[in-house]
Amino acid sequence: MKSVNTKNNAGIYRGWLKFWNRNWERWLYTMHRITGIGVGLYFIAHIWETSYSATAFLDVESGGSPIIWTNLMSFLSNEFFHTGLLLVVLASVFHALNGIRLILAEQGILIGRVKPPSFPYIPASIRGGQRYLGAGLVALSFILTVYGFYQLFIIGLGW
Amino acid sequence: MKESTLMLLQYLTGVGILILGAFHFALLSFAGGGYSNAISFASVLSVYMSFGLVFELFLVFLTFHIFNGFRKILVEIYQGALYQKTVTWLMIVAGAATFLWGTRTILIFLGVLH
Repeated sequence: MKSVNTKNNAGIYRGWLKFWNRNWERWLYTMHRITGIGVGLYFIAHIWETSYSATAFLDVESGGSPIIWTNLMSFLSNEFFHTGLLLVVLASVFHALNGIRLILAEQGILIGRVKPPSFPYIPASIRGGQRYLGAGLVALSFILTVYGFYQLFIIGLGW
Repeated sequence: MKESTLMLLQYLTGVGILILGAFHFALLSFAGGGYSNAISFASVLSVYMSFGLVFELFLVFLTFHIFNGFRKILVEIYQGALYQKTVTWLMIVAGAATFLWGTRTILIFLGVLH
């Protein structure tokens, strides 16, 4: 009996990263993957960072150690780390909003009405409100990132 | 656990993260009196004292969503029973370690651990 190859042979490059010459939803898929991995790795780093900063709050009944906290915040308050935080804001907002779009798509909400296949065979799913929702979430992600820039750089660093 | 159940939990924790993440961002910006004020020693202590258990719930949602997400991605790259089982257990161990380490931090902030 002939065996069936069920492995995902497209791999990371062709399967995920090569989104050019594909449709808009494929670009959103690639960005969802990249932002998810990025925010996930940041989360692990954030757990480590906060566990270090928590030492400032040991024995907090007697005042804790504000100096440890202040020193850590001084070390992190610069353009390099705040640029990193800004990327985290962009990635997390995009990932969250696109996640909501995906949940709606899976429930069949805002996808186009199904029609018999006819040339040029554009799937109905990318004709409906989902496409506008995708564009809207990208725009909203950038708007909220501008607000993040205001908080991190104008208020945070005093630019 | 069935993949469909894991996917449902992935969606539910995602919605939870969206709500609690928006709350976290708000506390670090306008609700905290601006970013500089929000990260001061006194503000952080006050926020943790008030919302420590909310952060614990946030940690639960994030740990599941992120490590299940990593598992799904790794299983998509390569298939095989042994590989899939190894990846699953690695993610369970890494997720548990991250969760316990984050819980320790929250308990310190709450004054439970000294």
